[in-house]
Amino acid sequence: MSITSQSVYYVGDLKTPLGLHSVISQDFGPSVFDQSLKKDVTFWPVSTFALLFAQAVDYYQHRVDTIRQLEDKLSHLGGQVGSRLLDHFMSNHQKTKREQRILPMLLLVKGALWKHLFGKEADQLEQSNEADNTYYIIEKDAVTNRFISVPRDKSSLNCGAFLAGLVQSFLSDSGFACSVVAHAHKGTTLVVEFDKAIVVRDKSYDGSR
Amino acid sequence: MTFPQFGRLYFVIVGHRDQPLFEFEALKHDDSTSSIPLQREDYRHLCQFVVHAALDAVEASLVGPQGSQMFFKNVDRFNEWSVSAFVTSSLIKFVLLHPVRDDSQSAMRKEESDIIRNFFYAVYEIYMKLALNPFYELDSEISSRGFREKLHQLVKKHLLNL
Amino acid sequence: MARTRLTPKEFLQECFPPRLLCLISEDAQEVCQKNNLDFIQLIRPFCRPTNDLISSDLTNRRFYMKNFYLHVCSLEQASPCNPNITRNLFNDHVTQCVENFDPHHSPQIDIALSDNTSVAVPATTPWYEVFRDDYIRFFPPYDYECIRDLLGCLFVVSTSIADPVGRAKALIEQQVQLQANQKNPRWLGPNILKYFVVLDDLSTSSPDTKVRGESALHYFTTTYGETNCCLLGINSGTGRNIDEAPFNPWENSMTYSTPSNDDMASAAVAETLPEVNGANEAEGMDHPLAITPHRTVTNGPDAEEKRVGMLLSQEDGRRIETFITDLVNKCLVPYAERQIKILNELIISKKGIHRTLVNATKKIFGPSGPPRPGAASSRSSTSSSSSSTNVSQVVYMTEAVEMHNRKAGDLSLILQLYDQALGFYQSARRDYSSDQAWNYYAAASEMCGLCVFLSPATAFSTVNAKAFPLQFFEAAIKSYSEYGPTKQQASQSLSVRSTFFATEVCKALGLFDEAAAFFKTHTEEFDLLSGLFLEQAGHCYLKSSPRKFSFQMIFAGYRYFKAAQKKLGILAYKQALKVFEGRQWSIAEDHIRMNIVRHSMLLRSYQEALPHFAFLLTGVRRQVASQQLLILKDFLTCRRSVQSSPDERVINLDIPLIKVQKIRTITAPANDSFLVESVDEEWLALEEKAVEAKGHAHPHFRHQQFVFSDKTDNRHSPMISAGEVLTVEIPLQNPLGLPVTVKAPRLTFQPGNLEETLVVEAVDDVTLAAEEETVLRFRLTVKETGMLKINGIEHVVYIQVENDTEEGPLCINARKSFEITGRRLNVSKADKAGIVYTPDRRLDIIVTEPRGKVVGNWENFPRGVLSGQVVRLGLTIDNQGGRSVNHLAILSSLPHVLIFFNAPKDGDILTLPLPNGSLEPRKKVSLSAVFVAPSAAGSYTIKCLLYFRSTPDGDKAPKYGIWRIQHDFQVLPGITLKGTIQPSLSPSQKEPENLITLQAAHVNEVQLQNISIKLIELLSTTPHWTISNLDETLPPDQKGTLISNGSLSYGEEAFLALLARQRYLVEGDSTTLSAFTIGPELDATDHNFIKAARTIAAFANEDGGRREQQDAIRLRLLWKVTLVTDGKTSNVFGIRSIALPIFTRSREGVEQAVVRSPPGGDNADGADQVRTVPDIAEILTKVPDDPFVSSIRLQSLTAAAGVDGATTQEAQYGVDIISWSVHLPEVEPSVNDEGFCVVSLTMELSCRLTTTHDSFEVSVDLRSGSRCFPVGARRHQVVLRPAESCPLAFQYCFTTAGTYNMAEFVLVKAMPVRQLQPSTVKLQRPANNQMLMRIL
Repeated sequence: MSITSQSVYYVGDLKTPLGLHSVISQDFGPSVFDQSLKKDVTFWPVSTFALLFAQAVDYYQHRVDTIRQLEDKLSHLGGQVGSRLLDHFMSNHQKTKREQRILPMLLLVKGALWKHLFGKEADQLEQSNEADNTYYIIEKDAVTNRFISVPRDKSSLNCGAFLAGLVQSFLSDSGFACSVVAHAHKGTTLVVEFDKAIVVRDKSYDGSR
Repeated sequence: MTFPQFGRLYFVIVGHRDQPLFEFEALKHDDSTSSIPLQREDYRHLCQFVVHAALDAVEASLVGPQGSQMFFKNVDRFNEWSVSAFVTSSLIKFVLLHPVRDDSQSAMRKEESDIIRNFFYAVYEIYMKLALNPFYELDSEISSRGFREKLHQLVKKHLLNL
Repeated sequence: MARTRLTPKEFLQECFPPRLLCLISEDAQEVCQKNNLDFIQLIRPFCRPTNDLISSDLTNRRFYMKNFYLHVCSLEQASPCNPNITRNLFNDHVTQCVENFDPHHSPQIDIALSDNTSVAVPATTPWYEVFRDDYIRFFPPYDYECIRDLLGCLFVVSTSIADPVGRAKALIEQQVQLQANQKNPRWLGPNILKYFVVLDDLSTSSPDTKVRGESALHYFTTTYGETNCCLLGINSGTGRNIDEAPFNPWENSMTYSTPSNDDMASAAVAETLPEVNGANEAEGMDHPLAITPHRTVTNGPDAEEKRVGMLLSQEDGRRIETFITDLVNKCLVPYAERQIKILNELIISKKGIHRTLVNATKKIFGPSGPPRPGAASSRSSTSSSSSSTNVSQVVYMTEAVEMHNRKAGDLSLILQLYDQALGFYQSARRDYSSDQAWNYYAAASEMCGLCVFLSPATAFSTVNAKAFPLQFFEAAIKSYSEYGPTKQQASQSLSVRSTFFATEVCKALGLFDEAAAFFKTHTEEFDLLSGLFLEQAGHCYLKSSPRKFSFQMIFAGYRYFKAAQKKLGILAYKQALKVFEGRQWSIAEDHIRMNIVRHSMLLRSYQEALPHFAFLLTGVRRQVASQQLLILKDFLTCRRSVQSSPDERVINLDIPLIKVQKIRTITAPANDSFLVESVDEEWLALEEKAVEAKGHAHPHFRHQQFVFSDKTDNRHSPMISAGEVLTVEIPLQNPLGLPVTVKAPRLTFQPGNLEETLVVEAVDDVTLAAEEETVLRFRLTVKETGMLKINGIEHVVYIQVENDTEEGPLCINARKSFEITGRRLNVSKADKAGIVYTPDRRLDIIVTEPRGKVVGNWENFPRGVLSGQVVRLGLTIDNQGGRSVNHLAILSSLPHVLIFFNAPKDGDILTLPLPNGSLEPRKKVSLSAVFVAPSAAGSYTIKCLLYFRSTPDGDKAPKYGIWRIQHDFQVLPGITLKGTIQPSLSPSQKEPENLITLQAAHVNEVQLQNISIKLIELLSTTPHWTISNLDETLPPDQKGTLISNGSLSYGEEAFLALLARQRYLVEGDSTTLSAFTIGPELDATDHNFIKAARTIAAFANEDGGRREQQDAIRLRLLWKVTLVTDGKTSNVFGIRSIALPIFTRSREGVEQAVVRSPPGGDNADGADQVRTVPDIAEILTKVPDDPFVSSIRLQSLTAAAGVDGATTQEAQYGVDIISWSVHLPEVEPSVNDEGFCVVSLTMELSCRLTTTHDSFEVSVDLRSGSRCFPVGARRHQVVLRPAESCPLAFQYCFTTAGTYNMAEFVLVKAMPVRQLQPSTVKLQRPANNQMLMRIL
């Protein structure tokens, strides 16, 4: 219940039992919501990232049985980054528009997003010749693989899975349902495969324009 | 069905699976304080029905020509209620249920849409802060008191004269 | 839109069949009745001629008529019937249809939802079709159209009577009558087609019947033409062989025909007696199901039990078929075509526009197109503004040319000549709009739409062409709703009918949103209709937007409920629910489910309702109390009705909410140091220490656990020995908004051997207020050994129903079974990789052999003590176990403060003596102990662990048992003791001596502010040193007490100067004790205490001696406080002690040390362990439980009062009362070669006061510093009268050179002589704080 100058409003949420008024307590200290979002990008030493990431890999490899699972975990971790980053990043770069087309979106990922994350653009963006829903983002020297020495018995492990997960959730959450897999080829290649439906939608925009 | 009176606001954040992440209702207080729970009882389910039905309209407008923008004014309408929506980059939908103005107040319309737009962007701001909090699981129900408190302030700041 | 039996085309084609009236003579009827059929039923199966029928238009183009059928109706069916009847009729048919509808076996359609899931909903809505067909079948006639007029009339006579022709004439007469006096709107055309059927009953045929037949037929052919009559022979079959005859088309047609017939009957009845149908309507509105029984009775049995058409054979069938075909081909169609021609002639003759009419058909699809309905309607609207009242009343005569157009259109439509019909309608439409006859206009547009859609020529290509027929319908509906008959005038509105058409067209063209729009225009129609329409609208959204679909379904259901179509309503709500389910729109979901429940309760279909309660009841918090109550009631009735076996009487209910995870099992009697989940380390350390001391510590040593809860590790079952009490705590919470009473709760057990021997204390009923939480406590004792598994709880829930008289409180037998998941494991890799939970055994109790169980408690352990106070305690030991305890030991967290008697000691563990070695079950003993309080003030917690063993060590029962006693107490400051020691430097001595200066201060200003502490004795038990008062060396006149009256009041300090001499022990002289009393007079208790303390000290040394370095001297100061608690006095004794290192003479002998008794130094205190103090029991005064919290509080209050007194005193005296100064010697003294010098000083005391008369007692205290101390008496006292002054002489001994500020060492106090309160002392400092003296 809040008294305002012009009118009295009952304010509540539907989760509270009926008949009980959900009183909002005023005794809050400054919360994270009072701080302002940082617009400018702060640069962290790559060693810091390397340390954290190495710890993550180490932590996970004690919690999995197969390399596959380990990569899944890493990709899930990356996914967290991707989807949490999405809104904030977009509101900085895309301003008040949502991207609808596949290609600009991928360029955004290759360019701005990579810059935002690693301070440099990704090396290449290619489209597959045979499948129109498949694209390749190529990063020659991925920071995730730079500092991880893979033991011989786990040779198939590719920590680029982290990036794959990041890109996948970044794209899927912004409406481009896709699956992204990391391959060790020309450094690290992220294979982005969009759902058919997405491609169809994209084509439909061509029609309308 | 009983239909809502004017001066009632209902705000929802809707997740990817159509589930409400956060609900918030503000209801103009008529003199009889006692009647408030009753009013809520009458309308709260209707609020949910209307918003849920409006989601179709929202998604329709997403693929429409204006689809790339975030704010959609009056995507749907139900009796004296009008539904405005805001779709974030991560396709989280903010939906606001607000009374329709009759044409006598049509002068208000322009500024009304501005009011709502500003409100939405303010909410987007705090939502982004929330999403950056690693302890909040994305696309799950929002239970943060801080968030609710902040939103309460935003409603008071922007919407009370709506 | 839902799937339908007919395609839109079929439906629309069948909407307007040619209709024929049928007048039958009774005899003919009888002939038919032999088959339990009337004539119409007899021919109905053949009314759809299979062989192709051909019609031709004005330009003699020929068309095949597809699915053409003939509507033959009796007089009743033909005549318009009462609207209310039809209204009920619709209801009944729909209900009937819903009854037969089985959603599970009907075709389903999948809706894709946003999150890639999909739900299936029924794809068909047969009730809608039934309604639609009825609606059109029983559509009342209107002036605006003649399409439903009767084209002709069948006259049926039979040869069974003498004069069929005469009878036929009679029938014709009847028909003429009807035509003459039919009132508007008219339904019988002017010069209609006449057709004669002569029935010939072959079963009873005789020559003369044949003759009659022939003659009759001949007569008709001659008078009416040979195409207009036929002789129809039936009943050729024999009743016997009908069974094996497969030919019987009537059976299936019966069901469809029967209702309509007796509907019409009832309709006719209703018309004759209006008041009846009034009543009928009334109840029809209330319970539309009221008529259903009657319906089912007439309908069901009739169809089954009566066998039908037994006399009819194949060739009868064939005859009828040919008869119908001839009727249509040879008679009906030509007639109609003739009519059209005639009408066309008339039209052309009246206005020469036939050319336009002919090419109108072409113009339609030409670029220009027809007059836009939009434009037309706009004109209509303008005109309506001017004169809408009279405009809507335009009525054309039948002869009017516009009606000719219309009529011609209708006829050609019936003959399926759609283009031609369209032409006529177009022109009619134009005329109407120009005449502003909007109803006619609307009707015409409707037909136009129909024709455009049906015409084979039309090929819809582009979008607007698609929408093209719709424009007509829109126009129609618009002007219908504007000018059409209102609800009062007409029961069924034309706009609804054209909505049917329009939507069908939309469906055919796949324009679902438009269809939905059409449906939604009729929300103000009566409930059933709008319910149906909303439902259809919902189905329109099905594909595109499922959420809208669910919303529409909600509305539909809502209207259905209002129309009392509960089943339909529930069906609709359920489909809406499918979309909402599991998406946390909880309020909406509640609303839906509650409606489903409520109405299925009304329908008594409890199985329907039951599944929804789970959701509703778990979410009760969302609803208001009244709702919660309703839901519960429904739930109960549901349960009662569906429950089959008695054990279902108990419901697995979550009201009140039982927090299973939080259940606690407690295997120890209630005791706050036990009822903690996380026992603190100290306890565990003590236990561990004890166990290993007793030497059965094995590698996997587990601490004994008494509480099992969600915070503890419950991998091991609780153990309890038979006969002991086990407590189970079950937390409850009331989720409802109304009070709930839990009655007769009882635990249920997994069947085993133990339940019968189990004794559970009855738990009395608890009532929880709204949202309240509480805990149920069960105390159970098991007699046998074994495993006891608690698997649930049963109780009765009472909910008081307010303002509800007819039934008492709700009463539910509820059960909750306990499944507890343990903690998540995170140890092994498997744990981490997967998610593994420990088994939680907190409710699987192992009952072991009976054991001894010790429960110990302190007696009169004070909560507040003075530092160093000595208190006598009692420890009561109670064996609550089943066996005798034969070993008992105690271990405490503060080892040195407790003294037990003849308790053998090993490390910190004291083995307590038990009377004659063991403690029998149910026996108590009380052991006494001495507690010496720590010297440092503050609050303490002492934890004592009782360790015990009992005989015999049970099977898998733990070897030992423990008991924890925790006690908190406060140590208050008493006296502090400081001391210095230095080698004596007197040249005269041989054996080393030490000078000791002690400084005791009374520091308790709160409790003891005006109670003085009495110093009793100073004693030392150091073997090689004796102490003696320094004063022995002084001149005799200064001999005596060290301190005046030997007691200290608050703020005072006492100084003791001692001399410690080395003693050379003579053989056999074992006494190490040396002491001297301080206080002047000692009473008996003092002497007792002294004895006790001496023994304590003695033992302390024997034991603690080896700890301390040999050359330390330990001094103990015994003190006493006398308390006066409400009259009676009580004494409190205590020991303060200090240890000082001793210097044997060394070269740099000036070296000396100071030792203060450190705060933790109480271990040096009398706390040192003692074997036995035989008489200490009676020595120590029994202190009240805690003297310093109870008694002294009073005192401190008075003390506070005293302080006030003091301040007033000072205020009264203003400035310093006494001024004093020390006269320093002229020559600066120097330390002599023996390292000290004694300086004699004099000080001048003078009283400043001159005004008052009371004199002052001035006391001068001489303090000793680290390098100097006074020689001789430490305190001097003089009495000063006002304005008097006196000198005072004293000596100081300085041990090192330096500068001393005498002001620090000399302390002057003054108090008025006649003051009662000693507390009002005022301490004086010299005016100039510096009295420096240099020692060279």
